[in-house]
Order: sequence, then structure tokens, then C-alpha cells
Amino acid sequence: MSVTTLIKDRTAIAGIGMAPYGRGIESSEEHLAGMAVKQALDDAGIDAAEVDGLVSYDMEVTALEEMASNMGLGDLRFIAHTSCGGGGSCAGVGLGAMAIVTGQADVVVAWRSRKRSSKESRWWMNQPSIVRDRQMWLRPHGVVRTADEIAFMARRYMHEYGATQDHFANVALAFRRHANLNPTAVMHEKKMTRESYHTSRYVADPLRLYDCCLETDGACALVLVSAERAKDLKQKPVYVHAAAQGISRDSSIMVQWYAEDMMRTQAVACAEGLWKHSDIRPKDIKVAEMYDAYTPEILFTLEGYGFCGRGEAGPFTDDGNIELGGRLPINTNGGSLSDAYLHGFNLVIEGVKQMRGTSTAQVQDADTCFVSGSDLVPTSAMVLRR
Amino acid sequence: MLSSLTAGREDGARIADRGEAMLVNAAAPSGVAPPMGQAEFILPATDKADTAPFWQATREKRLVVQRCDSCGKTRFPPRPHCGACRSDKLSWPEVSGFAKIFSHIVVYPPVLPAFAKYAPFPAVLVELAEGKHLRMFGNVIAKPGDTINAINPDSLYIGQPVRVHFEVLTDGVTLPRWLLQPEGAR
Repeated sequence: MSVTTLIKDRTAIAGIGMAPYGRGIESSEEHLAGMAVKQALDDAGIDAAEVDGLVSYDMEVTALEEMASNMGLGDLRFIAHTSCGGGGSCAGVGLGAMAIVTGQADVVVAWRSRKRSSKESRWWMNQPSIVRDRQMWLRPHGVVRTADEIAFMARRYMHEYGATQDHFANVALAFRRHANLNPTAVMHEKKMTRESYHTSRYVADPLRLYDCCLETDGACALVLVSAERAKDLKQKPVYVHAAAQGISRDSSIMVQWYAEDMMRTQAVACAEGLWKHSDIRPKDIKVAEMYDAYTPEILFTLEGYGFCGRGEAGPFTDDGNIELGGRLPINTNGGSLSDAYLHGFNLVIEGVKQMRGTSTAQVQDADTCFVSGSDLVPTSAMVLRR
Repeated sequence: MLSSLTAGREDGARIADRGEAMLVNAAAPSGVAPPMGQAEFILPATDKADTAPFWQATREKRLVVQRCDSCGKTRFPPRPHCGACRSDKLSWPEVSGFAKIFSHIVVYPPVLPAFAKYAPFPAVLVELAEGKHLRMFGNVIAKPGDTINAINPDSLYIGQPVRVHFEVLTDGVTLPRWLLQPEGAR
């Protein structure tokens, strides 16, 4: 058996759960996390005592053992806590698939809970005044927020490839329109026009407010089992066709500041592993859920995973191509920009809904879905199929 | 404005030199730290084994990078090992201080209190004349003593020549700034 057949289609996401998304939610992150996991188990029709694998990714507040106790899970035989912030969304699913296929676990739960809606929760506000790690090369110069860092990369990308703020607007507008279709999206009722995009305030020029993701509270979770088991459960199985992680060479966070080719993001390493293990090619993907903390990331991801060539992603977003009805609809729940910011795990959940046929912006006959974490940090991606 | 930047110099320097993760604020009573994120300066620790020689050099108004003594490859930021050959034998050669703007942004509010009085202000990533793989962050100035917001950000462009200038923030910390050079400068 070749290595490429090891996890392919042998596990399936059998349950999903979403705690309420919003701003100023009173419940704790730990409480929200439990709500999401409970709902995912109910959705799958699996008893909590059957769970024997648990996966989270870093910046998660609820520890693995606390989640196990809160939910009354069984004795856990597989546990993992992986990198990295917004890059880790698909990593847990991939690790869970490996655990199930190799017999380390039978039922794996993965989740993400965040509370970032209050101003006090902004991580950059808690910057220590003496910087002891590699951020010492950035922070003393006022390059403190993630938006500042991505803005440097966006400016350079615009310079090298002629991308414009209008391309970034294409991304913001497409995802907002998808959110307008999604009743649970935080921005469901808020319309955005091209004019309102272009007149929104700057956060870090060239990035405007509407280039930046929401800061919200919420949680979501999923249950992963073997493909065989999934066939007997309540929901239509959504198969994990391929999954990969990646750190590209000359790596640094958030941007490859010191690599000669700054645009060679973490996606490059991840894409190589993903497509090696996938029979489904980029041209076969019907819908994509891509990490979008900032609009330019969609352009970088389109190129990093080979949906288009280097420098071509700006025009790729024209003519409604990334909207419902277009060539490759992206972030059909509204994404981090207009649904909720849950470090990309809500994008995983939306991918599952697309494969079930239950999205509020359902892509007709969608049978393949690409999902990715942030490719500006150690990252992960996967291909789902129904 | 330089004077406001150097206010609290003594406290800042002493704490920075000890390298403790304490907060620097001249106004705060000794031993009482302001809330996280509220400090007057954001300073690099200058006592870390892998990076201290860089900050020692800036205090001497020299800009240095690392060079692998085994394979000769230069690198920045500093690392304990050479990624090309894995050697940990290294030296800290001085570079010319000439650079070009590789990318630039304008930082708008909300920002940390340390930077609030300057926002919006430009920040740059520069590429050193010594190599495309040697990049440093910083703020641009038109003349020594300028605040970091004195330049019209719209006048900046990728490829613009700059030269290092050293700004003494505290006794312990001297930051490189980037002085705009006339067009055609190296």
C-alpha cells in the first residue's frame, strides 16, 4: 500500500456543532467550547463516553483534560495540541484522521473557542514593554498588530504584481454577500458596498477596516470517525480525502520577512503534501473555505495552493468569480471577515455543510471542498468530499 | 520630541539592562508596573545571548548582522545556528548602513499608548545593500531628531534609498532608524 492511500477517504466528519457567534457573549470560552462539542456529538448521534481522541490547536483556552472532564468523555487514547493559531484549523482533522486510520482512536473530537469581541481581549494590547523574542525586530518600531504585518506583505504584493485595493474589495464584498445569506453570521444584516469599502478607515495602509476580520466570540466543533462507522450514523458522511500541514523553509511569523522570496508562504510546503495525497486537483474543487483574517490572504492562498499562478489572484477575484454562482465560490458562510473569527474553524464547519448540501449559500452539486488555515503561520489544509 | 522619547531614560535603561520582563514607565513608582500594554516605550531586551551583540553594536552606532564563520553566509535576524550549514561559529560584521525600502505601511489608530501620540505614522521594511536576505524593520526620518511621524507617508516608495541613523532611546537601547537619502544614492 502506497503512503498516499493511508488516510484518503477512510475517515469522515460525522457531526458538527456551533455555539452562538456574536459580540459580548457572557458565557466563558470553556462554556462555549462545551456547547459546541455537545452539539457536535448530538449531531453525530455519538455518546460522549465513546470519544477516545481529542485535538486542539494553540491559543486555545480550554485544556484537553478540562474538555474531557466537562463533557464526560471516555478514557482518551489519542490527544494532540498542534500549531498554530489560525494555521491549525485543518491540522486537528488531519491528525485525527491519522489516529483513526492507525487504530490509535475511534472517535476524535476537535474544536475551537474564542472570545475576542471585547477591546481588552486584543492580544496586541497586552504587548510586554520589553520584547524578548524575535518580535524585538518589529515591535519597538510600532509594528505591533497583525494588521501592520500583513500590510507590509500586501504593499509588496501590490508592487510586484499590480494587485489593487479593488481586488481586496472583491474579497470583502463577496464574503459579506455570503454572510448576508447566513442568518448566524455576525454581519448577516450589514450590507457592504464597494463605496463603503473604499471609504472605510485605514487600519494599516494599504489595509482598511473592511480588509480586517471581525473580532467575535463563539465556538465550533466536529466529530471524526472511520468512514465505515460514519455510514451508520445520523448524518451524511463528509469524507476527509486529504489533509496536510506545512512550514515552508526560511519561515517566520507572520510573514516570511527574511526569505528572499517573501511570497513563498507556508502554503507552499503544505500544498505539496496536500496535492500529493489528493486525487482531487485544484481545478476539480467546487467550493473553497480559505482562512481570511485579512483580504489579501485569499489572494496569497489562491496562488499558494495552485488555484491560479503567481500574481494572478487579483484578477481571479474579478467578475464575481469567488462568489456564489462564480467559478470558485469562497467562504460561503461569510468567513472570518463577515461570519465570525474563530481561527478558521468555522470555515471547516462550513466546508462540512457544503458537502452535506446544507449551507445557506449552497454551491449546486458541490462534491469537493478545499479548506485551509492561515498560510502566514505554520499551516494546514484539507480536501473534503461527500 | 527626542526629549520626550528619552524621558524616563534612567529607569528604562536600568530595567532594560537587567533584561527583566518589567514594564518601563518613569512615572510609575519603583516596582509598580503599569498595566500590560500601557508602557511608555516598547523596547527590545538587550541581554539575550543570541541577540545582545546587535544591541551592543547599535549603542556603539554600528549596524551589524551575523555571519557564519564556517560557510560565510550572512544572516538576519540573529540565530544560534547557520541555516545553510548548521555551524554555530559566528561573528558580527558591520554593514554599510545603506538600504532600500522593500515595503512600507502607515500605522493608524488604535495603537499602543507608546505610539499613540505619533499615529498615523509610517513604518518600513528595508533591504540592506549587502543582500536581499538581510531585511530590517524601522521608522523613517528626514533628518536626525525627527519624530517617527514627521515624514509625509505618501512620499515613500518601494526602492527608495535610506541610510541607518541611530536614535538613543534609553541608556540601554539605541534603535536603528532609516534616514531618507537623495534619489540616486547607493
